[in-house]
Amino acid sequence: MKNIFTIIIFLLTGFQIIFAQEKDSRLGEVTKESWDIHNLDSIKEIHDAVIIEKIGKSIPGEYFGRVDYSVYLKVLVLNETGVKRYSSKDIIYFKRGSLNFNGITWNLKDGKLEKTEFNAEDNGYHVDYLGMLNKVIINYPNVTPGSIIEYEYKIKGLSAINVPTWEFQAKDPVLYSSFHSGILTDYITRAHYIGAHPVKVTKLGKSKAIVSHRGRKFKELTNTLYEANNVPGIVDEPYSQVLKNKLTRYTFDFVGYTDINSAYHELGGDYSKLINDYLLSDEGFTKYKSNNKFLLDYFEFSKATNLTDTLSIIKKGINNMVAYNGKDGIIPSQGFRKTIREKSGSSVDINLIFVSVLRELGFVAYPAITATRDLGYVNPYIETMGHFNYLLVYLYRGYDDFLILDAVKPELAPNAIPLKSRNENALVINDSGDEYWIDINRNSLASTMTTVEIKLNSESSITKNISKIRTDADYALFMDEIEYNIEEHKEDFRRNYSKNHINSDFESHEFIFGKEYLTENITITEDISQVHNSFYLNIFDDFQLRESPFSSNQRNSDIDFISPWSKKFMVTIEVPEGYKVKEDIESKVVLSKDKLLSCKIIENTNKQKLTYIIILNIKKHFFLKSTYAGIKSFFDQVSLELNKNIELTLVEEKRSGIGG
Amino acid sequence: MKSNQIIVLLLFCMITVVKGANINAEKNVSQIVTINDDGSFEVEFIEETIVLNRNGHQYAKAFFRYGDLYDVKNLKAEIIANGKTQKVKSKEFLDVSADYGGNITGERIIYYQPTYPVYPYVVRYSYKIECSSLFFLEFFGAWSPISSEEVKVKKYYYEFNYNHLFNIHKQFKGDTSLYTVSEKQDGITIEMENYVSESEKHYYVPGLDQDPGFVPQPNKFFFEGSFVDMSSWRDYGNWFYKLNEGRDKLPENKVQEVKSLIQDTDSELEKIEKLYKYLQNNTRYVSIQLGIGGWQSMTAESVAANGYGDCKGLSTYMKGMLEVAGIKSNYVLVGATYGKMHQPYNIDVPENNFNHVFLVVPMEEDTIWLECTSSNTDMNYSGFHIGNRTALLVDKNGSKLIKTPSFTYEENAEDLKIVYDLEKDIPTFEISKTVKGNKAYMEGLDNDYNLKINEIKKRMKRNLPFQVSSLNDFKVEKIKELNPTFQLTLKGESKGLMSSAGNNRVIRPLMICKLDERIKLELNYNRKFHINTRQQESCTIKILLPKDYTIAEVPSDVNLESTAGSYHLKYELKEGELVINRKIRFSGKVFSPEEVKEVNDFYNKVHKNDNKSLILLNNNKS
Repeated sequence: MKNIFTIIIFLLTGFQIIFAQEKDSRLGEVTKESWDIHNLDSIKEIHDAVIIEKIGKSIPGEYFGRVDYSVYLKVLVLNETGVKRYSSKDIIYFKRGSLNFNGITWNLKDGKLEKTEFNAEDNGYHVDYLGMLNKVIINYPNVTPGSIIEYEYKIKGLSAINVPTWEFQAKDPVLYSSFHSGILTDYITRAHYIGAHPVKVTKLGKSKAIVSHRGRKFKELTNTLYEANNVPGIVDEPYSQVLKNKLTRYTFDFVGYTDINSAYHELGGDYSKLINDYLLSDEGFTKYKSNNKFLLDYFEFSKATNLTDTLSIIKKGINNMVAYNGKDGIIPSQGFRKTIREKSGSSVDINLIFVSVLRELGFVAYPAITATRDLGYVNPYIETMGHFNYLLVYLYRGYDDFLILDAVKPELAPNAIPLKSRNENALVINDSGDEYWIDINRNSLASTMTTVEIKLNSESSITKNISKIRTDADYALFMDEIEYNIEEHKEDFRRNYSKNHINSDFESHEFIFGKEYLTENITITEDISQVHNSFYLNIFDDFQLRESPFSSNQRNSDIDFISPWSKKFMVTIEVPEGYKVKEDIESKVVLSKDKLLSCKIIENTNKQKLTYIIILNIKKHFFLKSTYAGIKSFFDQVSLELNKNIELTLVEEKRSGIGG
Repeated sequence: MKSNQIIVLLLFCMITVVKGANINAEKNVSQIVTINDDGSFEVEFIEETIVLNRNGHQYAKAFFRYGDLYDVKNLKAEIIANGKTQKVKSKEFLDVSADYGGNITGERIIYYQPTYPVYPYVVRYSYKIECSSLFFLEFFGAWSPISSEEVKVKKYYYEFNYNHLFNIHKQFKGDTSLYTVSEKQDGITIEMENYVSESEKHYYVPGLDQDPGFVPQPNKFFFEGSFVDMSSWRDYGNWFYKLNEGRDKLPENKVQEVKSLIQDTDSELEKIEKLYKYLQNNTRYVSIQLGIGGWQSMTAESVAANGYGDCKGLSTYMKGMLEVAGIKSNYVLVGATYGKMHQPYNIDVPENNFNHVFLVVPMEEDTIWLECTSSNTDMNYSGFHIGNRTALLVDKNGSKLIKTPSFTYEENAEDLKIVYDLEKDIPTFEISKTVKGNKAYMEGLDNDYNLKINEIKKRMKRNLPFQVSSLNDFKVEKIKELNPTFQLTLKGESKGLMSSAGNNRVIRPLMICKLDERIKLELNYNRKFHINTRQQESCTIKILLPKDYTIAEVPSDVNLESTAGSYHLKYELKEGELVINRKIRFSGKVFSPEEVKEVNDFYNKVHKNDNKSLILLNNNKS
């Protein structure tokens, strides 16, 4: 009896061991309690869904150098936007790979749980996407607000070097997210944490895996589990960073492996090694270092009197020779001669020509690589070439003095870096291959100088001559904002301006593209408020920051002004004879607590002329969200000052006409 | 007199210069249409774009859709610049699937964007479009020179070759003096030179194509094995009926579910409402238009199983549920969205110009309109999507053109009641806003409003014309179902209600209700135009004046009546308070060019009065 009992216990234990092994599928883990989410009512007010679980796994695949990558997601959709976002999936995969996708839609109706199963074969629409890629489009059945969707998919044969970054955070809140990374002990990898939310890392110990490579079986895996709980969602707010910068995530890097002969191959290493191995040893990349005197034949430098002229001539010459084909990267797609012959090239091709011409002229110039803004900033502590996808021009001017240039956009001055490539750090590829990082924004300034001359006409109207001179970041950001369409901008400006101004008439509106500046000149006449013999006008009307950009009392993310600011505004009004001025605008300084934001208002008035100057500076571009209250208060105070009006009252009979 | 003549001449030059000022590209096009005996047809194009500057690039790109029903063949491209011709390699064309989650057509896209650094340069495309059925003749076989004021059509040659087996109705559009038509026995040719389209932009009449064009309309042909008769609207509608007949049969379990849903409901209206809500709560919109599936609905069974469908599928599903409830309904074909509101239809010649299907339930006393693709609008609400336009009622043998509900002032209304208390140290505001119909829709208010409270609050706060120091109260309430009506309340404090002018104060009380844009047409605008749909706005603002201040001058009342609408503004100064009543009605008309001046005058006066400032004089220090 006792023996039978022992055998039963042994068998049960054995079964437990079998069942305790990881399940192949997580689907089906939904109960009525799955809808009981803490603070759900508050979440519904702000977000469109709640990601209940997001679980990923990457373990060695059948073949050496490949992994099987799987994802499980369980999400509660809260509204129509959530339905749109989560009720379908497009998956692109290599034709030679394979995809396994299954899911269930759950609905809780009158206390009863209803489920509808779906998969890629029965519910997917398969298309030949592009080249070597297939796409499957799966529309999940029976998804409505309040549904919970579960799905899981596995992609086999993904390259081990390309294991995707695991994002613990999303637009919607994530209650639990984990990533299991199983790496052969023969691989050397590094995992990098980026973000603000804590992620717990647990070493799970070693396990066994069978991987074939010319018959050899590799045995051991190192397993690590990364977990995060209750990760808040991301909300859209003014002056905030790109989404990628806000997401808490882990990236994975292969730095080396041991092959079947037990030889170790280093894939990564420090940046100096990477620069030398990948860039300075690439014949195509290093063409800018060779003899390229022939390039000088394409430019005429006789009229260049200073550096600005020279840079402008080079840039204009390049833009006249080569059109940007929309492609980016860090390795050129072709040689200089072919680029010029074809008249088309990538941003790399264009900017490497720029580097080359500068070097031929005797300047110290190098390529500087970075990532486009949408990919998030480049972290210098994560040593991989994988996150660079854009090439700029670095021009050395002296100790700690340099210029960053970009020749891709014909409309911009050479030093006006477009928003796309304005991304914190860049790695300079100097001739020695040393690691040398620069802050792209360090010498950058979002600078606009606005002057307004106001003349009082007869019949209660004024004429304004407005001139805006934008340089550096403001030049580039303005052009980005209007999508390089000047004519449409003029129409939009007119339409928006005339909404709030009576009988406004645009006499002229022109743009002048200078070597370093973009000048916008506008002449407008419009009616102003008149009561009896008094005229009232707001003289700061044309200052772009008259209204505070921050209206919310709360802030969920850090603040990014893209570049330090320098905004100057000067308005002058000729006071016609016989008129008296009443105003309560005083010279004053508004300062934020940390003194990083300042606004100086200077009043300079005499009988014939009123002059007011505003100088608004922001010394750095990035602020933590904890400083938001101070920033908002600063802008609110500035706005209050700048909404004051002046009153011009006729105190005696006119001796001469008003204005022109 | 002489100076006046000079002024007129200068004005003329200015207008001429302005008109031709923004030409960014030019085009030369040849288009030849040939109908084959089997009912298929081909269109051969040679299209040359001269890119004059950076803004002209977009007009030189190649973008083609193709699939099982139509294809693009023999596509070749060249770039010609500085006297040299460069062939574009086929690998430079991107060929990618057009489908994505929520939208499946089975089609692909061929795309190419030329880039060249100097101007002008020329891009020349030659290609052939092959269509399997005359069903697409009105799209691919039509002549429609580019309608952009940035592009000059230097020369357009169009040739349409008849086929004696098929009867084609010819529809000429726009100003026929702008092109030359030559009719021959075997076809027609159309030639046009040096044409630049008029700018309509903001004031275009939605759905009314005023540009020159030619549309060949076949009346009988085969399409995917189905014989289509477009001899009359009745025939066309009947074809659609037959194509979709029987597809509304529900599976047995759904039949039982429907019966159970309505078992305790007597009135037909209540049954419709219950079933409509059931549809909205249990299905969603996914567009699947594969082959004839662009016109033939998914079965109700398929929609029931998947919980999704396109407009046809969802309408069929709803139709099936109504059928089980013993309620008859009809499909209605329509050109949906705001952009097609004033699409004209020839009552004698049908055209294949619909993009949407919904349901109508004819009842004894009324008609109920059911938009089946929306999960959050009310039953019978037609709005911008399907309201105020001509549509085709589909019936077994009695299909006919009908009109969907027009907009009335009262049904599309906004009523604001505001109190500004300027007596307090920090002035306060109380806003109560009631919006109905399309006005509610424009505010993003629908049956899901309680899921978007925060968003609605943020938007309302953002749209206030003054800085908010603090918000004390915010509420949204739905008051009425049919013709949805919502009330929003917002209370708070603001230091920005008044601004200073020396010792005096300035307020602009009507900023909160004034028009969103300055409406002004060019005097020489010579097309029909449209400002907005029929609606009204009323606003009562009570301003509690601060102590020691008086209003310098109370503006005069204003009463305007015009073809554009009406505007009434009244100021009443009482003890310590000023009450302003403003009411504006927009006629929603389609205006003719002769009405430009009258419309401009009306809006000029409205704009001027809405932007008035009131000066509060400081009694102690003035």
